[in-house]
Amino acid sequence: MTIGLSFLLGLLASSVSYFMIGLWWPAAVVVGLFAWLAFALLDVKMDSTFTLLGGLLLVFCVSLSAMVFRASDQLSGLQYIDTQSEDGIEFRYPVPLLGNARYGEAVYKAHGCAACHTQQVTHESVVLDVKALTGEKNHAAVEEAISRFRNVTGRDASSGAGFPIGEWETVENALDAADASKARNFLAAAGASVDVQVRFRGEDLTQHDRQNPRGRGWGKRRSVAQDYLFAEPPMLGSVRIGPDLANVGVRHSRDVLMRILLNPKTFRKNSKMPQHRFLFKKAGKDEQGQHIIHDGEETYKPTKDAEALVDYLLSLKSANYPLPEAPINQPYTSSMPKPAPAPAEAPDATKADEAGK
Amino acid sequence: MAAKKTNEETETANAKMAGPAPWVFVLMVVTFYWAINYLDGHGGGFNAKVYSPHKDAAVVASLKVQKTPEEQAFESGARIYRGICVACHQPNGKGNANAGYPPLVNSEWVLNESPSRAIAIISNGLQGPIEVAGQVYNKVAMPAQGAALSDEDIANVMSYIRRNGDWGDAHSLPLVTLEQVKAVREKIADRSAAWTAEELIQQFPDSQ
Amino acid sequence: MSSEPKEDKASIDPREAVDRSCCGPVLFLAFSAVAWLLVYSLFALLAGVKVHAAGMMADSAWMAYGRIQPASQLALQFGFLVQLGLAVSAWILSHRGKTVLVDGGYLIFGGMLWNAGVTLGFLGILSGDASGLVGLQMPGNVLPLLFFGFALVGLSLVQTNNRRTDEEMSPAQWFLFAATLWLPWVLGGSYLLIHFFHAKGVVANIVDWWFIQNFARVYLTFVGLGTLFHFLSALSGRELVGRGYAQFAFWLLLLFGSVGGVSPGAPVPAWLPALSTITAVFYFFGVIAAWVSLTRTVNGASAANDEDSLAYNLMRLTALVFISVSILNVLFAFPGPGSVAEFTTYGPAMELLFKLGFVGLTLIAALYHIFPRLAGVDLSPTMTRVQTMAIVLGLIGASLPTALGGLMSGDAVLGSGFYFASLGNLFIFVGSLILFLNFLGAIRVAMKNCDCFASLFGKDDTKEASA
Repeated sequence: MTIGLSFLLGLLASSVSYFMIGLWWPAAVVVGLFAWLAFALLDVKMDSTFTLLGGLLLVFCVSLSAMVFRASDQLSGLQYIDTQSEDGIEFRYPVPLLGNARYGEAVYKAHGCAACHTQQVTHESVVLDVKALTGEKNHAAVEEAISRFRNVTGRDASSGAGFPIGEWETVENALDAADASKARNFLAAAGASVDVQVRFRGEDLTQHDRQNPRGRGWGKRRSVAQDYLFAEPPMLGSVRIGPDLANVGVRHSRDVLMRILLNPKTFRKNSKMPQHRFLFKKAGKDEQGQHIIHDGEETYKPTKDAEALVDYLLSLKSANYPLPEAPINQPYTSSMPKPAPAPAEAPDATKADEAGK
Repeated sequence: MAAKKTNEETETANAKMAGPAPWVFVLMVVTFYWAINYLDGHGGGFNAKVYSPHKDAAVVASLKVQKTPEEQAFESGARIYRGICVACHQPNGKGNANAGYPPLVNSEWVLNESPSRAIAIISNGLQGPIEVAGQVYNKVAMPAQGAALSDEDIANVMSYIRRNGDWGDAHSLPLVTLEQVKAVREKIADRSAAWTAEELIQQFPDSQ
Repeated sequence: MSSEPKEDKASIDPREAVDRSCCGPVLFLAFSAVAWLLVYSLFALLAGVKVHAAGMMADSAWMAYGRIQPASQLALQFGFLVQLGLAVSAWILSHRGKTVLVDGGYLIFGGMLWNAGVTLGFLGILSGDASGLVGLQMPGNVLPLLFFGFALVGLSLVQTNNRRTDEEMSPAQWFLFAATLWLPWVLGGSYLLIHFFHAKGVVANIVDWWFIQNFARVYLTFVGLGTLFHFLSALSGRELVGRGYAQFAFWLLLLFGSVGGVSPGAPVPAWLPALSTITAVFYFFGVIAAWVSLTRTVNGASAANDEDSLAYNLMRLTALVFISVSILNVLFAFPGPGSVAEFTTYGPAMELLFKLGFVGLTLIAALYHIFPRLAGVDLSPTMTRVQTMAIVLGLIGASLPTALGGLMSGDAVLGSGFYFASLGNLFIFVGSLILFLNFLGAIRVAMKNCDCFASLFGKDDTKEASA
């Protein structure tokens, strides 16, 4: 066999051992070298159908194993996981689709909404924000800690002077994990209260003024495999001609969704979404009821399909709750504790001894 | 009989069979090295829980919102308050004068230097009239909450009601510690009946 | 390419016998393919127009955008590309092997099953029975029909290849042989994993992406490259140069084309997109090697016969399209550029350019060469030129503006890109209509002259040839 072809087969062998079997990479390289030598000494012609067939089968098995079977091993065994809603209520996640929403998923699939909408939220990077809180007693030490931190990490070398007392204030934004823990250590040693917030940066995510200015508010975190546990199948989509729908149940109400389905241009003038009038039937002009939608001069009522589809869309809240692999940054609670007054400051000395016991 | 080939024919024959020059294979090896490094940097260690752009599982674990212990105590207390206390004392801490629930906002019982009395009230409940912020409340007794709450829970909810800046500037007292709660509960361990205001003042005089 | 025929094999079948044996099966598949191209272009046009005229056909569920768009893709990929690929493969394998097409009847029967499967799939999607997975939208129970149809055709092709007179296979034969085996394996594997074993959650999507990657980067690429390797050397009269390069390309494209295709933001663990990036880089090495071999073979020569010049030049154009799209693909395989282009109309536009612009046009060019030899009648030259121009222009219009539009605004889509796309789709529709009529007209003339359907079963010709 030619040197070149046997090299390729050696490469194949080391790829198989690295990607498929998971050998430590130097071991995989050694395997490849041995395979190279072995094939070079073999006299196998490329022209034999038998060789071709064997090679094809081998590559087929490698590709299935490396991509599909390994992923299946990792992801097929996912189960419920406990997470918290915004109010701190624990619940099992993901919530399976029930009743009409399950039928709505079939409607979504049947009408191919995935041709224009994705259901996967992405993010680009993760950064950490550090905030601190100090009382008067520690103020000088904290300011000094801030300038030390800035020096050590090569940041803008301004001093920490001017740090407010008694208020939570940002020390530094958009740090990586290493710098954030340095900041935390310096500040905690100086006696301040420190809060480190995780923030995902990405165009899909919730908008925060300066910190994620181009955020489109499509979700609070990226989508992960756990979110699609009960989807049959997960209709992830591949093109975004319309917005992402992974979290649409949080963004829109039933009425808005009905209106969008009937005539998207009433919701957004430049919408490229075709009208889905076949999901509605004409209603009498004077018919009343919460389901009636007016579109210009016509009156429409949703069909069962429309109701189910909207139920399904309202159940899509997958980028809303934190998971271990995809945490969410928590907004600051409004009633953050003020720093404890130093005991020595109490004017009445007799009470000072007992305070704080 | 082997036919003699001219140089041209040899060249053509070689060109026909030509394969990549050796330097291509060297380039492939270099690329393979790059690929391994790329996988190390971006592959998340083939871990099922690591999603791009995180580097590995340790980084993901360190991304949990890292709150200080004080803040965690405060938030835990807030959760307990919302779960148990809001029914009577309301989320805004103002209680309901008509129903007979005293407010916690600016209450001298809450904001007393020593948390002992409030701890006792939570543990065993309160009965009889009590004056809070100049008004007397006597309509209902407060049921005991001590059975459901651990020492840590009581410490946390006490910290919350004493440090909740939303309720006013006076609510900025230090954290209530576990030791304080334990000491108080030990002291009143043999009592099971609800307290009255006078008994509380007797049990925990000022400056204790 | 000439060698002594082995004594224990049938003697080299004369060219006319080979053509006669191919006539019925190949033309049947080619005709079905051209018909499906027409269906594709019509529905793609309708889908594109719905983006502008939102109220058009809004009362019909069957005409919902989300139904006609996947249906049109099915028609293009499975109806047109696969069938025309099989037709051209049959012709090339029998001609390269200097043998008659073996068991052409299986080929026709398999082709009928395949057509039935695609039709059922097409109607299934329109009626709302789509599977929801991007690459495999047809209803699950259509897949076994497709599998068996293709397997029958494959049987014929493999037997033909086995009957070749030269033991040594040329790169064209490697690529086409591998493609013939690869698609049923990948199709069958996907069917089993998704519909039979019910892959759970995102694993179904991962299998779907695996299928899409294998279908485009292995199967279609191999069909296109095999066709190019054969025709660029046969039509220019030059022998293949750089067989080693072709061998190198073959294995690299196979190994690294079969893994990947996961976009950087996908809701799967990070190693899948990382693996996709790596395999894209190595795949590109294979592309370069194939390109080197092809360019050295062609070496600036023009077509040996004037009548082949349209087909030949079209193929040189599609080779250019192939290398351009491959360069872009490897650049956008990295997460930086990839996340800019992710989920925009760039992806579908590039895929259209690849599928129709490279594979589709290569096969159509091959058809221009094959058709007169099989039917005994030339396709009308003016119509051929017009339809080629229309499809080429239409492709440019349908893909480049939307690709740019998808990239330029980051993720928002520029409306003007869609207008150009609709114009492009219109051109493609006109072009494919002309192609269909051209084909039909020529067939009707041919059927008066030749006795194409007598050679339905290749056994008659085999006996004749060995006499």
